[in-house]
Amino acid sequence: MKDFNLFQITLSKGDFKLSVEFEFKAGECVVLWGPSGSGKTTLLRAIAGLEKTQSSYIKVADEVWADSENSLSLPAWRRSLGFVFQDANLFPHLDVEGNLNYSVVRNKNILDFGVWSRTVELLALENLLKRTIGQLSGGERQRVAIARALLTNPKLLLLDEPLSAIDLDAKAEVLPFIERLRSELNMSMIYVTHSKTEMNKLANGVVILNGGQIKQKGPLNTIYPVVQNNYQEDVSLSTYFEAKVCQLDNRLGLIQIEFAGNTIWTKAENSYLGQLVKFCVFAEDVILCSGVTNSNLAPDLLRAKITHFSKSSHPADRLIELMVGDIQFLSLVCIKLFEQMKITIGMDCWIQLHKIQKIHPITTEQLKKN
Amino acid sequence: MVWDSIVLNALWLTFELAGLTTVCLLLVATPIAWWLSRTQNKWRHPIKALVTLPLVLPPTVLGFYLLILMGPNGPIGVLTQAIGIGTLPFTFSGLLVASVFYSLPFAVQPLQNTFEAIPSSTLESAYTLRASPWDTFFSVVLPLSKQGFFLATVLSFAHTVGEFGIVLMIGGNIPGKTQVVSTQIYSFVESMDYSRANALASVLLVFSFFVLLAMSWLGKDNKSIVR
Repeated sequence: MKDFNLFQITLSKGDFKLSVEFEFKAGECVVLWGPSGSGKTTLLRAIAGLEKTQSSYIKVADEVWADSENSLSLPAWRRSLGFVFQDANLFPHLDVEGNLNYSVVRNKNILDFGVWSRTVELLALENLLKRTIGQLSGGERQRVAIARALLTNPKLLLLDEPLSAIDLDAKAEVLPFIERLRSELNMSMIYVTHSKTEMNKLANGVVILNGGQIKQKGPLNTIYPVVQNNYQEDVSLSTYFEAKVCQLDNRLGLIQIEFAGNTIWTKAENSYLGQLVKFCVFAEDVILCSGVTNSNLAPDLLRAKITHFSKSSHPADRLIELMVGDIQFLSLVCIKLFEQMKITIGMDCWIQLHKIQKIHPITTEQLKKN
Repeated sequence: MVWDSIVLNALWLTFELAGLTTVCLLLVATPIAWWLSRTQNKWRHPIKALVTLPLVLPPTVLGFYLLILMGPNGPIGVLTQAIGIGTLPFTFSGLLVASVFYSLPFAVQPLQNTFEAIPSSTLESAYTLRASPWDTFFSVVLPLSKQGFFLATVLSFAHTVGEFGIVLMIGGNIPGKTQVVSTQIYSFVESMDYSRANALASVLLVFSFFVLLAMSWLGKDNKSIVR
């Protein structure tokens, strides 16, 4: 059982009780998935030794970190793990290099020669080393945090929603790095997220948590369809679509984009005519407009057909799937409006995209370099 | 002669006392402030009140009790006699102990504030990078608390220089031994020696002004630091 990681943990925090048991093969990535408050972060912190447990047995590869029957529980600083927090938690009194070296000087004896440069290269930090933390963007901070965690030469890398605190562009910037690290380093990883996209891209196995209990666990290909059909991810529910730039208004910094036979104006810099641009829109920014007739038609309204609706994780919301031409959009609608509009499948309606975000091309040159 | 040995002695003694008090205070106040900034213990409120007491008590009250405690029949007095250093009142060491108590809140407060400003997540990230709590304290907490330590140093020093009541209660007013600037000024005034009183008083006036000025400058710097 040397190449298995095993986790048995029970703990209680006020009213909240957590009791889980799962295992996975060394070198694999397990995604902990579940709604907010399901105990994902608490579980991860307990594995790291940052949370008191009632009873626990934690074995990572050939090391036992906690065994409450033998009153063993290593403190966090004695567990060979790397932890990437939601907020990068970099040390503000050190520059990027100083932050990385903080790990290095404490793990000198176990670091191979060359790990430093490989890590710096893996996360494309060469040009950031002399920067102060204040000069970094959200995505850059998170990359430094990942590198800093890797430089402890961990047996297990724990990532607590590393992309949730950064904006959409930065997500697109950082995710490829994490994917790359998963495929190249062959390191055991536990990745907490409530994004299906991240799960799909990173997981070998999935553990679904709810109310401190494991609801389901298994390999990605059996769990992902279950997740797809039964769970909604609220905040990060979004639609990606491609549109063509068909008109520019440089004075106002606006572009008119065309997709599925519709045109709308939106803010976007650095675009040229005829360019194909990828956009993302969150479900809560897709506004269903009631009472629209042809006589009061506002610009930027889109004609859509409702194809499906379902409950959302919040009881006051309904998740609606609708088609604009051949593009599917998701919209999160308050149940009051849902009932007032008497929404049925196949119904035609008008929607407005409150806020759309331009996605910068995902692959950076640095990534391409290898 | 205004600047004679009595005046210079008092000045030297004052700054010696303030310097030593500050060093002792930083050593004593740092763990107290750290504990107060991190603990959820139910005793934190009474302890905090106790530490803050010297801020509101008349120095005579504090001095009175310290005199009793350190006197020949007080518990501290019995202890110091047992280990062969005699009783502390009316000695420089006694004055030092009293000063440390008296200025405690002036060191604990700024340190506690600066420690509380460090989020626990910062400490936890150090732990996950294999830094033990001691290591974390020296490599993360201290560098992030420079301003607080500077403030605590300046305040402790200045406050000790400015004390009067407790010096009189514990130290008496023994020339060359426990006679500091503030009590010396009092003696000069009593004996109508205004010129020497003025010499000492003006030193304290100028000193205090520059201390406050330095702190104000530091406060300005504080804001310009991007966290």
